[in-house]
Amino acid sequence: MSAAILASQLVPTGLPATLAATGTVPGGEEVLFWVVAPVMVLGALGLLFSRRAVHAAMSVVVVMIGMAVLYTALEAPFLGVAQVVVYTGAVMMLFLFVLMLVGVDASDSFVETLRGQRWIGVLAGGGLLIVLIGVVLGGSRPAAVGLEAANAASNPVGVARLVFGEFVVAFELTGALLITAALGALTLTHRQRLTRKVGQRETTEQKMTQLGGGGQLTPLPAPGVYARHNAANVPALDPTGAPIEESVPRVLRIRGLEREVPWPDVVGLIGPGAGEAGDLDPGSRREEES
Amino acid sequence: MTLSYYLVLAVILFAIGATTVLVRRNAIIVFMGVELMLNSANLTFVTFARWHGDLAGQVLAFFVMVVAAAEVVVGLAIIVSIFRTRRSVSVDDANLLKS
Amino acid sequence: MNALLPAGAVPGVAADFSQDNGWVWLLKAVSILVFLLVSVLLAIWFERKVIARMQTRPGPNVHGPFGLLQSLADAMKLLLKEDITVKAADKAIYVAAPMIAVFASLLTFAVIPFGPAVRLPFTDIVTPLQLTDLPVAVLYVLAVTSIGVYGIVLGGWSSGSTYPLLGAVRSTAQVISYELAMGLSLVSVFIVAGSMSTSEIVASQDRLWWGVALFPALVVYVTSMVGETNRAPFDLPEAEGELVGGFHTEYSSMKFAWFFLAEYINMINVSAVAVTLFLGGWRAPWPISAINDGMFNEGWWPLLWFLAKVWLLVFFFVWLRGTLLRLRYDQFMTFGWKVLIPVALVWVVAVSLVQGARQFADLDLRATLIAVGILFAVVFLLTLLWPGGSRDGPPAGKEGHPASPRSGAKVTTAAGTTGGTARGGADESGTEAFDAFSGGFPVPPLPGQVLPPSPRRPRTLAGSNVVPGGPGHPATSPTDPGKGGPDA
Repeated sequence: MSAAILASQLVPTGLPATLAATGTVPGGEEVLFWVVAPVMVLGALGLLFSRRAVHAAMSVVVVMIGMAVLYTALEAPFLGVAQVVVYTGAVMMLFLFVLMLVGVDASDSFVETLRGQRWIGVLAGGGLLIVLIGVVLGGSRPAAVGLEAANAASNPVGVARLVFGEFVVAFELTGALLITAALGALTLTHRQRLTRKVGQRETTEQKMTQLGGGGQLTPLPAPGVYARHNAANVPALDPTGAPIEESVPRVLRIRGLEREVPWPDVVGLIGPGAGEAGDLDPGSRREEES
Repeated sequence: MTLSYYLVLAVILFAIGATTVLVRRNAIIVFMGVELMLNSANLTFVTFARWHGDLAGQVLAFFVMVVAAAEVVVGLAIIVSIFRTRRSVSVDDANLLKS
Repeated sequence: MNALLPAGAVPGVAADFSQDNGWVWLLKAVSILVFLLVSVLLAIWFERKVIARMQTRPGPNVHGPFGLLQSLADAMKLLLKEDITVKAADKAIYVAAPMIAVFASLLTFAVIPFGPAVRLPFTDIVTPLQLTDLPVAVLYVLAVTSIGVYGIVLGGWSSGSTYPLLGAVRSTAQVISYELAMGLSLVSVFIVAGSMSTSEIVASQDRLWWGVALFPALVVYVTSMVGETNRAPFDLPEAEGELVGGFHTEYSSMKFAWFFLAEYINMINVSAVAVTLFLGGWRAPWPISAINDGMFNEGWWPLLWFLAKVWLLVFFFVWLRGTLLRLRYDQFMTFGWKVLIPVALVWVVAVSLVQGARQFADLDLRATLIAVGILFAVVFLLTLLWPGGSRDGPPAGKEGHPASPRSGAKVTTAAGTTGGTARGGADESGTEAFDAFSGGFPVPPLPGQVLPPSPRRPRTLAGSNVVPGGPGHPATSPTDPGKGGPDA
């Protein structure tokens, strides 16, 4: 029952111990089950109750990983790993991706369009639970056999023999289904491009042609970051001490959040020397030096 | 402990998933509820595979996984395209025929 | 418990763990942990030092011999910094994300074989230098890698800030795309090795490393492993020029250190997987392996080869970072989906065809390979001889834009237009007239255009003849105005 026994059954071989003759699971697996199962149920409840979609997704990830652990305990290591790769690695990641795409902060509305639907839903779920537990615990239950014989040539080999033997048609069909689904997703999310795509080359060429008419080739100057004020809404100063308007981001300028340089003394500090040579812009000075 | 505890766990997860589908309004969360139901069905498959000593259960669980992946791809694509036209992922907002 | 099982009781695994007891597992697990942490400290120092050499500067050289203690000092600094939790953060996930990243990165080495079975010193226990092995070990590695990505994605999202969110979205897309190519490249190894267990795969490479036999798969794997670990030139999720710091912009102190740790451990992880699957694992490289009937492939020697190969790959990572520029995001995705995945797919199909021909059609392997080689040579020759190579013309896809000044150049020059449009011309001749002061502004030439000779050139030439080593650019060769300057 200790963690060492648990480890001995899962770590060194990667395979769980086999079933006892009476069909009961060994002690280590029992401990594992009672650790993992409550976590999984909590995760599932997290899906049901969490307000934010990302928290729900994380709860589902917990359930999926617990499921993978249980598969490994149930002598299905291949399925356990495939579970993590497929569900945790791809499906839930896709969910997170879509959540981020459609705005993760959109929390659920609790306005009922059908009155009483929530309570009916909860009642239906509870009823389902009771009925299914009745089904599971009732009925005749023969002693479990275990997969020792079926897994004799290692579990992936056993599964592969079935997939490519008995179930090969179903396998091909699922392949076709996957391709259809991928095509369907592409078609559903496809948007016709109405305007020509402007790439890096086109942008550069456009900048070059506009250069003569007051365009700019280089990025815009960065906003002023001074010891007194480090926000992006204060313009930088040019060598003459005058504020450069385009150094403040366009969005801030449009919203009217731009701030004046509030200290004339700073301008004064830079000002006098630069003021005398103010007729020389940096470009012409460089010409002179060369 | 016998293997039926795994089945009970699967049933609990299935019921929670079904309740999620019935109660929640966010299409993405509803979808995750469906995934939870599929997973609990898989757990039943794998448990019965061990119970009967037959790997066919595991193979079926494998197929369920593939089908679920295909379903998620299409479903999320539908959600994204609905979101593009209605700016919402609530299932209540998708019941209007005219936008 | 495990001692009850007979030796080799685990089907599908070559290594024999039957003599392991609890202490051996503990010892192995702790050694792996220590190995990883020390390797990270070393790798950070190594990277800074190598990058510095590549940029002709000394790198860290103050703390300790050769600056070896620099990364330790950095770690202490990170530990002692203020731990900031952003106000807009989603607290629980914000704290959990770095932990997920680190824990997942620590898991991979559980199945990596460091060496064959050795006798532990001072005991009679013979045990493989590997914590554990599974029949599905490589898939397990893929699985824990995909869990590790949650650290990045959740860290980016939970920061509640724009740049980290962008980094997280990029990382999601990047990992989904590159994991496909990575998995496909591994499939060809599974096919030829006939197993997914790491010890089996190493055992199957006793005559030929799969990196040699399956070279395209190795190339695909190495490319996608760089993408998978978010390292330059594929470090889009943390591109500092675009996204400040990407997913870890809002992290500081220890939480940032954990992300950092995870990145470097992941680098060692993927290198170790590449070594195990493609580069012979712990096997000695060829000339050494032949010495004295393979004495260097036994005992503790293989540990040396394994570590040497892993560090060689780490050096490769650093080399890439020192050499290549970061890709633009759309180019990166295009590369993943339109180049890597198709190549990996075609390769897997080819390998399975050859393997199927060997197993089912009873063909001689050598004859099959020669036939395949001839086929490839013919295809290669055909592509070489294919008429109308588009390499000399403008890049494909640009011709369809009549508004582009590039294709409109001929018209404008024919009409004798001056000004901005004349600069756009990049004719086949490459000697088109070029107005260096179009519209009154000095402009650089576009590709294909040649600068007019500088009016000052004779003067410079004369100056360099008179005073070699004088002011100006005396070293500049008059025939080669592009060269010279500080970097020559």
